[in-house]
Parts: sequence; structure tokens; C-alpha cells
Amino acid sequence: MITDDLVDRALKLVGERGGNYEYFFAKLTSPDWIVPLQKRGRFSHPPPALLEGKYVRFPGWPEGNYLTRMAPIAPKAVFDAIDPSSYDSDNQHVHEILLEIAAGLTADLAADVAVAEAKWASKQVRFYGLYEENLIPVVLKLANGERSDAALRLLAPILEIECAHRRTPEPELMIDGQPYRGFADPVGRIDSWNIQRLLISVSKPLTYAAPEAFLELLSEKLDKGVRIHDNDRGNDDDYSTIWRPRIESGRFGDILDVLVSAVRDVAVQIVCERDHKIVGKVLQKFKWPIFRRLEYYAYSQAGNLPEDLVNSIVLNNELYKSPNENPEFKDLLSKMSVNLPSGVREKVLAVVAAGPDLSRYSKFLESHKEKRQEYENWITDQWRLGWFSALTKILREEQLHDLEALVSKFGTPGPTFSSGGFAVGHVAPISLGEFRKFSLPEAIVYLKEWVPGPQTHPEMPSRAGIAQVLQSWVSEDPALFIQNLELFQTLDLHPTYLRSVIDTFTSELKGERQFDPFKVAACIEWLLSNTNTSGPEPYNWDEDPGWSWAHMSSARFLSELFLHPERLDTSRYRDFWPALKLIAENPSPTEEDEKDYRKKEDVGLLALNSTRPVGLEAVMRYARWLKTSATDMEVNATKLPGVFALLAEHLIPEVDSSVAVREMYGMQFSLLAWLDQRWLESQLPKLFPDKPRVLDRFAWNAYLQFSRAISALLPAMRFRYQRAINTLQAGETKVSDSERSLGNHLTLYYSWGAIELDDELLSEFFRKASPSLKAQTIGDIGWQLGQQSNDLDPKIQKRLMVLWEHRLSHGISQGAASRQELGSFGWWFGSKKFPDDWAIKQLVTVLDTFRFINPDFAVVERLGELAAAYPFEAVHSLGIVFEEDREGWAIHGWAENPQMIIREALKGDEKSRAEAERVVNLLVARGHRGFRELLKK
Amino acid sequence: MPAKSEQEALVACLARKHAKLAKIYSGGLAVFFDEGNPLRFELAAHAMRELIEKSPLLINEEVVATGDGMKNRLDQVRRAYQMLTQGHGFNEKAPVPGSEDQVRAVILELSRYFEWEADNRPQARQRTARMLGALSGPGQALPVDVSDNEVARWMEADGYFKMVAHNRCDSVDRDEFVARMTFIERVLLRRLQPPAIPELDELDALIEEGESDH
Repeated sequence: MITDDLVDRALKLVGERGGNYEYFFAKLTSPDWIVPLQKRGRFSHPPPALLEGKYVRFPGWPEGNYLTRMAPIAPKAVFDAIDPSSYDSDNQHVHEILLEIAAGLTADLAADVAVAEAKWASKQVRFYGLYEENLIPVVLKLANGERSDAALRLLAPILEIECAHRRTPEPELMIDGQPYRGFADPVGRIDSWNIQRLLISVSKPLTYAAPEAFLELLSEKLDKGVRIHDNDRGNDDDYSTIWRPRIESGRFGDILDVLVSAVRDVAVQIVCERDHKIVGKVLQKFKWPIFRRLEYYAYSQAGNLPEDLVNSIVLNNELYKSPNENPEFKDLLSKMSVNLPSGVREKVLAVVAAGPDLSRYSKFLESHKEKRQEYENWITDQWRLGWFSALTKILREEQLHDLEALVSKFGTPGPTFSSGGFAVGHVAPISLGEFRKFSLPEAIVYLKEWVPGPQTHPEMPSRAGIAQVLQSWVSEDPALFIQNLELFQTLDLHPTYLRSVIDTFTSELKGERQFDPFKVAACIEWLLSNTNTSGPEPYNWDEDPGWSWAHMSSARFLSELFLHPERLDTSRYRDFWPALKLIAENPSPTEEDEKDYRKKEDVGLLALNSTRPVGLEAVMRYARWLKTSATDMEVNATKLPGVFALLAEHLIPEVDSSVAVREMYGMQFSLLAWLDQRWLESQLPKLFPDKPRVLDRFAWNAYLQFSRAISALLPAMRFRYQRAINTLQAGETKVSDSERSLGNHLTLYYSWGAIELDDELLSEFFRKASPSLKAQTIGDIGWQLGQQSNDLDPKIQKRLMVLWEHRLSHGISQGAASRQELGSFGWWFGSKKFPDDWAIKQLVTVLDTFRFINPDFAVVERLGELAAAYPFEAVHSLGIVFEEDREGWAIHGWAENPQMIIREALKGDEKSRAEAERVVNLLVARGHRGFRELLKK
Repeated sequence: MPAKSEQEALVACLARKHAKLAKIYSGGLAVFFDEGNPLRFELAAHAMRELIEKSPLLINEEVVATGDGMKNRLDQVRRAYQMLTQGHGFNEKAPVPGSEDQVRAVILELSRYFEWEADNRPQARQRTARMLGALSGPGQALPVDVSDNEVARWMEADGYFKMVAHNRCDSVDRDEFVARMTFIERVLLRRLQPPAIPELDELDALIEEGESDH
């Protein structure tokens, strides 16, 4: 029996610890606790949201969870126990629970909760967590319980949409004295994917329960979304054929699309199950074309539409302005045309026979006076093609002939922007089959003569589209194109075509088909000798802007070529040199091209995407090919002076001041060292010059990130490492990739014995590096060891243990400043590359001193393996790692290791057992109640 | 009188987490139990206020300097008031005209003080709540009303120990002192060494008893 004393004793314990609080309310199974707990105010204190720095946290509400469980058992008592202040809570989790409670109550009580919740929800700008998920059962309960009024009130706020805030205000652009307004983005208060899920779940029962009100609610939201999208542009077009080409099929992820689909489904359900008049009544309240399209789509899905309605629609001349404006009307017309009374049918055919109203295109036609007649014909043909194709079932014979002629001229009409309006590819005016019917000389004539028409929409045929077809052909028969490559070597041909042919050969290098690469190199030589890239090349989506793309493709071909020695004949190595020399002298990138890039810290992006650096990479790979494949040839600066002289020349700032070129040398540092170490040593002062610093910086960063440490080169490289160490900032909190590589290089040199602990490079590095960088460096050693499957060389192991002990002893004397660095020992411990006894002793020292270790998962896993041999150390370490995990997530990545460690400790001596009990209490106190069983056993 | 076992347990817990805090607290205990020491309450209060002030170290957070405390702030008000009363001879019967500047100065300092208090006390409360919450670790927090009450008592105890430490009360009531000391000790020990399993067992028994005839 629940007495006052019993409740007070329980609440005293509840007040002692959060764990007790949660446990108590989770364990209650009787509704008899509700009243005494309510008397003591226990339901009046839902926890508030917690603002922690930039983050908001929504704590749990154990009392609410208890009420949720009791709602179906004692609905009235639960409803009465809800404190009105709960509806004003700023903790969204509390509101999720209120919805859960409502879902368990009777419909009328749930409606009261829903109305109160709707008031709160209407003030929210964003819903988090599972709010909409919890809304679904309440809405369903209300819809099925004849309280759809409350259901719609609850639903309305979560469907609210507004204009997305732009990150930076756009300057107002004036065009012809009018402010230019682009489209704006409507956004929901939850993700559109979740809105879609929510509406799919509730749509059918709500449409059944409240057809008109539900359709109206959804239409209002869609109307608002379209208004936001339109952004006060001041015309009546919503451009919906672009963002929603077909009402029937929506795209995923866009709020407007989601709402269109929702309105569509509800409207279709209404015309099929109820009265089509409801759809007309509601949708006609809204002016946007999308609503007309939705209306006709819904009608097209109805089984039996009244004849007068159909007739009035198909005889509405306004709807025949363009066959593309209302695709759903066109579909409706097509579907209904067979059943139209003959009089109506004749009228429709007369409208179509009359042709389009060309005054709608007057502005366009005025601006193309010289081709006016041609464009008028084109517009008329397209218009007739559109309508004739919709009316094929009722066309007269002569109209069918006209349609046939139009189809053979323009092809079968498809819906405008059939792919969705945005992610469209290039379109070719010719298919591969048709193209292949040409001989290559005929194909070249076609390519020369074909000229694109005016670009009125993105799906117009273009040279880029033809180039794609051409590429397919080259890829099918590369030998044919190799034999006829000279045909493409003409300036009369648009650059797009030769570029696409070279690109295809680059791809084919990785394939099986054989072709003569020397011919491609000769073609590239012609290209580079006869074309230039000077002058601006404005970007054009539909074709290459000039010759620069073809030059870049040439560089990529040559660079890729020397990775395929099986395709190459070393006796003809000189044949490549003219093309290589030309590509290495290519003017791209210019200083202007690099202006912004020089300010950045990106490494390799420009080098890999600029012609000259990639060309120089091809030269380096050329030398490597000769060194590995030409057995009768010695490759070094003396024996292959042309290559090395060319490479050296580009390290002279007066000759080549490109940072991208320096990046390429840094990226290929290991290759250059392998080709000729002495030559490279002689070039180091030029590769890493004192001035200009920017050249040094890009070369150095690329070297650190893309090349490995080479101990033989360390003496010559000391000056550069020293320079890098001097720039380290002890107060820096972030670690750049280059700094990380610097630390890795230095510790590698140490582990190999190239430098000692007291070497200035190492000692200065640890003196000047920030705690984060030191932690990264120490951690990386352990991480890299952990990646190696083989045993660690005992000499390296010993050197590393000495390094660690040195850092530990130094760190203990420094105190908290070394916490982060020494905490990285976890990677060493997890690597299993050090003696167990030594490793666990170091671990315990670090944990006792700094109470921090990283990464916890690797450490706990290793502790699990060592627990049998070191029970106290293992459970003691586990306790500290767990206790110091402020967020409480870490344990979820530890699998069964904590249980294993505790079991081993409980089997151990008294000290181990006591420590295990302490740790288990700690675990249970923080909500991991399953560990309680370990002590019971 | 020797330290109680809970106090010894707290020393051990503090030592595990932060040696400096263990030293402060065990020093305070030593002087508190030294009944021959006439300043034992003042000195023990010093230790307790230090322990409270430095308790953020238990969660690896920095200690917030309390140099800008209530006493410093009140000093400004007191000085303005003394200027008005002692310096200018103003009292409750004196006419305001003639002392307007001094009255305004007192009002100004009072305004500044109230502004600071309105701003600072909630922050201190939040800091304390966050510290005690973090010390409990992740997982379910205490009921919000319980937690608010605990924070209030913690801050009250802090104020009390500061007052005793700075000899601002005529005599120290031992029971009052012990009550606050025990409260702080309990709050810390329950978090550092939670008796989780016995308490869950007790709750199980209470629930079973309450629902046995259900």
C-alpha cells in the first residue's frame, strides 16, 4: 500500500541522485502513485532546456515517462496530473512526452492536450528530435476520434514554412531601373523529408475525416511556399514546370515538392472518394499555376467526371497558350479527348488548328528581327507538335500527316525539363548510331558545319553534347581515330572535339584496347604548337571556352601515359620529348590565375588542375619510366641533361614563379630524390628559397603532405626543418596537416636513429610545439605502430620507449600543460607493440597523474585483454577512463570489455575486488544499471 | 575527535581526483578537530571555502577568481554611505537639501551594486549548478527543484564559511557550522563515491511494498 511515509522515503532517495530519480519513475507500474506524487508537486517541475555554450540540451523527464505509461490505464488521473506550466516548458523533450501522453488518453482529453500543445508549437521556429514522430499517433487518434479540428490545429505549426535566411545579404541589383529579385528558398520548421514522412502517415485518415479543411491547410502552406519562392518578383508565374516538371512524380528533399505531392494525394483521394467540387472550391482560391496543374491532375485521376465540367475545361482557350505551361491539362485533354462530344471535339481541333498567339513572343521576335520568320515558324511548329501529340486519338487525317512531319523534324516531344530542370546533362542533336554511319572525314565535316541554335533552355543540343557522342565512338574504336587523328588537327574544328578525343585516349590508357600513344603525343605536339590560350576564355556550359581545356587534357594524357610502360617503346623515347617540352612551357597557370590561391593553405589543388605543373609531372614520370624500363640507359642529371635542366629551370623564380609548380615538385619530392639524389640536394635551396617565402611555403607544405621522410636527405634538409620548427606557435590550438607531418618526420628520423633525443631538431620541436601538436605527434607514433601487422624492430621499440619515458618524466614535471600530449599514450598502449608490463605501468602512471587517455576505446579493449594478468590495474584504469568521460558516450564503444575487466577484478585479491565494487557503483550511478548484476553474481 | 569514516572516504576520493583539494580538506579537518585551537572554526571555514571555490578542479575546469566578490562590491557602497553619514553628518532627521550630492552618490553606488548582483549571482548559481551537475557525471540529472535547492544551500554554505573565515560574526555556533560542513561533504562524497547499488535496492523494496496489493 502506498502510504505517505513510503512516498516520502522514496522521494528522499529520488532527491539524492539522478540515477535514483530515473530508476524510481521507470519502475513504477501502478497509477496509485499519481495522486500522492502530484500532491508533493512532483509533476510540476519538468526540467528546463540547458544551454551549454553554443549547444542546447533537452534533459529527460522521468515523471513524464511514468505518466505516459499510465495514460491508457488511468487517463483522467494522468490528464489531471499534467501541470499547465508544462505546456510552456522550453524543453522540447517535455513536449515530445506530452504528445506521448496524449496518444494514450481518450480522444477528447487528447484534444485538450493537443490544443494546448498547438499554442506552444505555434511559437517555435524549429522542432528538434522526435517531435513530429510523436505527433503522428496523436493526430491519428484525433482524426479517428472525430476530433480532426484539434488534429489540424496540432498539425498546422509543424507544417509552417518561412523564408530561409541568407547568410550574407545580397546587394540590391537594379536591372532597367527595377530591383532584381532572384528566387528565395522556403524552409520548413522540420526537414522536408520528415514533413513528407509525417504527411504520408496522417494524410489518408485526415482526408477521410476532414477533406476540405485538410486540403485547405496544405494548400495554404503551399501557397506560402510559392510566394516565398517567387520572392515578390511581381508576375503571376510560379515557374513550377521548372521545379516540378510533373505533378505525378516529385523529387525528394524539397519542401515545395513535398507540399505539392501532399496536396496532390489529398486532392486525388477527395475526387476519388468524395466530391470533386471540394477540390475545385479549395484549389481555385489560390492564384498560382501550380494549383491549376494540381486541379487538372486530380480531375485526370477521377473515374467519372461530370460532362459539363470536362467540356468547360477543354474549351477554355486560355489553357492553350502553350503546350508546356500546364502539362497536367495536356494529359487531361489527351485522356478525355476520345470521349468528348463531337461538337466539343471539333471546337478543340479548331483551337489547335488556329495556331499560337504569336504576340506572346513579341519581345523575343523583336530582338531577332533578322530571323523573325524562321523563329515564328519554329514556335508555331513546336506549339502544334505539342497539342497534336496530345490529341492523336481524335486528329483528322491531314492533321495526323502534319504531326508525322513535325515528329520527323523535331523528334517525339517530351515534357519540358523532363529531368527535373536542374541536373541536366548535355544534349546532342545526333545519336551515336547516326554518327557512326558517317565516315570519319564526313564526321569532321558534320562537326565543322554544325552550329548550335539560340539557347532558350538547358536541354538545347550543344557541342558538349556532340562531344559526348564522339567520346563514345572513340572509346569503341580507338584504333580508327588514331589512324585518322590528323583530321582533327585543324583550327577550323571547335576545340571541344579534339579535347574530348584526347580525354578519351587518357581514359583508354587504363583499359585493354591497344592504340599507338606516339600518335597522340604527335597530335598534342601539333596542338601545343598551333594553338594558344592567351586572352580571356569566359566559361561556357555548352562547349569549351577556348583551347585551354585541350591543353590541360594534353598534360593529363602525358602524365598518365608514363604510368603504363607496357604501352611504350623505350627505343622511341625521344619522340615524346617535343610534346613534353611544350607542355612544360605552357603558360597556365599565370600569376593572375594564382592570385587568390596564394593566400590559401590548400595543397595540391592547383598543381593537379593546372597545365604546366601537370606537364612537369609528366616530365618527371617520363624520367622514371626511362629509369625503370630502359635497361641500357642510365638516368641522372649527367646522362639525361635535357630533362634535369628543364626541371631545374622551373625552380628559378625569374623563369617560373608559379606556386602550383612548386607544389608539384613538393608532391614529387620522393620521386626526384630517387631519380638523382645529388641533383635534388643541389636544388634544395632553390626549391625552398628564403625568398620569396610563398614559393617556399607551397613547396614545403606539399613535400610534407605528399612525400615521405628520407633519412639520407636529412643532412641537406636540416635547414628547412629548422625553419619550420622556428615558425611553430606554442599557443596554437589547431594542428595543420603540415605541422602534423613535420612531427611525424622528426619522430621517424629519431626512431630510425638518424637523430638522437638531444638533437636540436627534436628538442626544439617539443619545446616550441603547441600541446595539440605534441599530442598529435605522440599519438601518431602509436597509431602508425598499431597499423603495422609485423612485430616492431626491437631497436626501434627500445628507442621509442626511451623517447616516451623522456616525455613522461618531462611531462610530470610540467603538470597539466602536458596532459594532452601524454594522454596520447593510449595509441601506444593500444598498438600492442610494447612489453605488457611496461605498457600498463605507463598507462596507470598517466591516468593517475593526468586522468586522461586517448583513445579510450583502444585502451579499454587492450585492458580487456590484459585484465586476467593485471586485474587491479585494469579495473582501476577502466574506472578513471569512465569517470573522466564527461559526455558519457565513450562506454558505448567499449563492447563487452568493461564487463570482462570487472569480472576478472572480482576474481582477484581484496584490493582488486574493492576497486571493482567502486567502479561498478560508479557505472550504475551513471545509468548503466546492467552492471548491478555483476555484483549480485 | 577523529574524523568520521565518511570524512576519511572523502579525503581518499579527493586525493584520487586532485591532491591539492585533498590537502586543503584534510588540513581543514585537522584544525576543526583540534579543540584546543581557539581559531579552529575560522581556520576550518577557510579550508571549506577554499574547497568550495576550488571544486571546479574536480571536473578539470578552471577556478573562477572571486576577487570581484560581494564584499568588494559592498565596500564601495559602504564608503559612499560613510561619506554621507560620518563625513557629512547626514542622518535620518537631517534635511536632504545640502546633502544632495552625497545622497546621489549613495544611490549611484547602490544602483551599481544591485546591477552587479543581478548579473553576478545568477551566473554564480549557474556555475555552481553546472559544476555539481558535471560532478555527478552524465546521465539523468536530479529533479530540477531538488537541484535548485541544493545549489542554493551550497551557495549559502559558501557565504557562511566566508563570513566565519573573515571573523565577521561574533560567535560561531558549532551545530550551524557542522550542518553546513556536513552538507558540503555529503554533496561531494555522494558524487565522488556514489552508493548506487544499495540505494537502488532500497527503492526496489519501497516500490514493491507500495505496489504489493495493487
